[in-house]
Amino acid sequence: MEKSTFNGAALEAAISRLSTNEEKAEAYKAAALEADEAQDNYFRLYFRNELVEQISFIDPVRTLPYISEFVQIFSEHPDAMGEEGVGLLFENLVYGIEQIGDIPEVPREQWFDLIEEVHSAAQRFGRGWQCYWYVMSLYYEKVDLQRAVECAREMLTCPHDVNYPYSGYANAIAARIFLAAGERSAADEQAGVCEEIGGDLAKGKCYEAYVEYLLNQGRLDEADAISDKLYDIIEYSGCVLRDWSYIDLEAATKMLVEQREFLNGRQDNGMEYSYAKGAWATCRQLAKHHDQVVLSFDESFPLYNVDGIYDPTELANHFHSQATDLGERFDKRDGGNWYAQDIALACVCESLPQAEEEAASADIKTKQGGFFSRIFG
Amino acid sequence: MDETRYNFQVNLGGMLDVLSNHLYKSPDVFLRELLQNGVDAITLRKKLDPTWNLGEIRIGVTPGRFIVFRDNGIGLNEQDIHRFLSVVGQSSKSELESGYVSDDYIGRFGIGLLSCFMVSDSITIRTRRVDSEQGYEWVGYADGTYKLTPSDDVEIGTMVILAAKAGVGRYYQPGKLEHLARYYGMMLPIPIYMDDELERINELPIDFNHAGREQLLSFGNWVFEDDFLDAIPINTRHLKGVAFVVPYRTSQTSKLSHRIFLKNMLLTTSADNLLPEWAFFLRCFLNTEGLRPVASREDFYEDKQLEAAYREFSDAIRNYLRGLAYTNPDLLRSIVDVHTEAIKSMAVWDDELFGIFIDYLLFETSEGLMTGAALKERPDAVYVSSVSKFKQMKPVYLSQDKLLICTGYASDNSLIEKLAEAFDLRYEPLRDDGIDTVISDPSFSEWERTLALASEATEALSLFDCEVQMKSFYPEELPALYEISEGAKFFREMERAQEKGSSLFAGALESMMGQRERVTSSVLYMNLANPLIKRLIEVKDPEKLRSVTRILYIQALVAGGYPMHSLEMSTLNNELLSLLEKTL
Repeated sequence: MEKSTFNGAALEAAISRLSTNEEKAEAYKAAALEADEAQDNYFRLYFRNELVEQISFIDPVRTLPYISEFVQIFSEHPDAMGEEGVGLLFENLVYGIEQIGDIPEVPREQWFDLIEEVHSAAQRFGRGWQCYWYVMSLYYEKVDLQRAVECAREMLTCPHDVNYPYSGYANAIAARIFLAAGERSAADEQAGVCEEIGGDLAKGKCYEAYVEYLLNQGRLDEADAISDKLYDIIEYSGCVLRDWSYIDLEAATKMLVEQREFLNGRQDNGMEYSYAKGAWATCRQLAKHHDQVVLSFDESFPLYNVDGIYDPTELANHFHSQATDLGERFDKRDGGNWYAQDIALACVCESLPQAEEEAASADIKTKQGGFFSRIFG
Repeated sequence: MDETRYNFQVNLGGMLDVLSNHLYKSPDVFLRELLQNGVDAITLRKKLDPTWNLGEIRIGVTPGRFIVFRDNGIGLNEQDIHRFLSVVGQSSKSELESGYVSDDYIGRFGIGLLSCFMVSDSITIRTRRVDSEQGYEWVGYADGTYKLTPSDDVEIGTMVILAAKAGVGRYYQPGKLEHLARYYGMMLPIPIYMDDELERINELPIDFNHAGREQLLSFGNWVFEDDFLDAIPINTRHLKGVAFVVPYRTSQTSKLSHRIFLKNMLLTTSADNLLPEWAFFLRCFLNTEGLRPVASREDFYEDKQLEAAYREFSDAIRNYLRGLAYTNPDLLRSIVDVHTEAIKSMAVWDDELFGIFIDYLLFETSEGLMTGAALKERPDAVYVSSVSKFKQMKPVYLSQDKLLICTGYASDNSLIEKLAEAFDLRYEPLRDDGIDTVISDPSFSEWERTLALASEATEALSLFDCEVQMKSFYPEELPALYEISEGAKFFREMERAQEKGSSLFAGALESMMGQRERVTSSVLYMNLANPLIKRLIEVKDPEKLRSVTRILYIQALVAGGYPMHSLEMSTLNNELLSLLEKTL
């Protein structure tokens, strides 16, 4: 293709017309390299920032290499984007730190070093303090709840003076922390704010916190109402899968396979853990009345069977072991037992009459060949 | 509570301040408003006496001190002055037409004169109505007060006198005023003169009804100082003028200025709500009729008429380009050459434009640049959205007479899919396992014969976590191909970030990758049909074999467009030196 002199604006206009996140990500990768060659520091930063945004929709952990490059280029050319660049620095740093929190291999010391960088940036630029308290809240959430509550309160009093965390995110995270700390009315207040000012992703975070909280307490009906709203926003969420296991086992069984495919090749441990927990619940429900189920897992699934027939107990054990392994890695990093306790609560709803009834009556495919057996009690 | 009605209280001084100093984007517009009033006054006089044809506007200036703006239009009597000059929001034009603003008039809001307060603390008007012997002098002040006195020796028409207020002296210069009068009044049918000069300053050097292409292009150069590629005449119910095709690449973000007139008076240079988003490769000179301006007269009011004008413009451009495909395909091709990216991005969304342009659009393929028309003749092809993968696979596809299309450039993927759908072409994306369709496994005897090489070569590439497999493919000249899975690509990205990214993140990334099982699904396919590989099979010297393998690996990596890491750079240097030493 004919190469012309570098024209970042024209490239951006053309890329913005592409339809899928994957297409845009590929195009932004190429554009970032072109900007490197042209030594156009504005667009080196700009295209990496756009690339990070596109990849965040595909597989958030994969944003890290590009966030790292953005931070490096910004440190070498802090004025390249003017004021806009400062906002983007916070956005990239904080988003990157959020991903780091979901990687059990990264020690807490390294995680904290990155948070310190946000602190330094906030001091240097005189803004972004909400970003700082946001990542601090996440840092303490699973190891020191009282400290996390204090950080969350600090976060809520800071001005929202940079784009990230997006509107409503701080309220969603605060609600989650307040729920865990037993401060239900404070949590509800923040959920209300999130509902009012938050975008879909912020609301999704908030709904997820409530569904997890309510399922852990065995309050299935309440959880299900919020789970419906969550599903409208996020197609694949481990807690929706867990909720559906007790409410609509047939739909949960379908999602069990689809969500597995969705997670294939992803590096997101947080989603993987949430899925494994939900999948464990689903398979335990299936195992109550079935010795075998027909599922269309693909070849990459570790227990893959060509005939598609699986023993739900075996599947439940697999997913339990997956959730436990991941949880242990997180607990080891954190020096605590948050995940062990969380897993212990994962199936508290299964003994509820509603869940028993659903397990007994769900129309589950149990034999290859296309007929469904309905088992009554 | 009583349902007593109260009147709004108006702070007249504050209101005048808002209307005069904050409604408009620039003080420049005071001259436009004066021109507008002058033209409307002349139009009114001509209505009273259709045989009168001597209307004119004259602008005088005492540099740095006064501006005197004169029209010989209908003028005002005492009653008119009280009603129109002294009541904000009352326009003589709307009054005369009983609430309906005839298309003959430009103004309508009765606030235009207030814009003069941007450049003067007072506005003095000397006026005499055409059917009256008595003239008047009216002086209005920015605090909302005015005085009116009868005055003799006032000529028919209206004279507006402005005195320079502090900080706006630049408007009280002949050059500036002439520039503004020409800028806003370029299309006005009423002649405008500076002082007592005889030369009219606002004559348009073209008659759109009779101008040919060259004249239009010459006019475009006169207005915009650009040598345009083409001039597209626009003549619809609401729009008359020309759209010029700019001769250089443009983008949606780089807004080009236009000249958009309303009833012959310049209204805007942007017209975002009149021109389609895709028209960013055009600069327009258009006069509009039947559209409504907003109060500041700097944009169009959004209504059905504007929607109709928008459609008319789009249709005019489409029809012209469609015609050009038959009358002057070379010209259409040169337009496409310059504006490929713009046209591609709009053709993705606009089926009609897609139909017009697709034959002329260029795509990179394994057989070189091909037009859409040429692609339509090729029913089978594979497309790949990664430029690096395209570069890597291009020779393989070329040698096997299979067509590979690169869709890694913006819009190309969507266009190729659209092309395939529109013309029933069997175009498929290159799948991850797509390489299997163009390379073949060795025979058993070949496999057996090359087993040792594959093993030793894999060992040589162990530091890059790359496995070597022996395959056969064309072209013979290609010794090796590099293939990497998504998981392995992620590892490479992480490694690159550790090297080139922020040291802050490097530690965390290292911790992450250090504890993860390394994905080694990257493969170097050695080509058994290649003479060098055939000779490599016979090489017994393990050092030589290692050096050649590593160099082939790095060559394949570069051919695939993968950025090299520092380990690979240093390996390349070391192995080349090692080979050189052996040959010397």
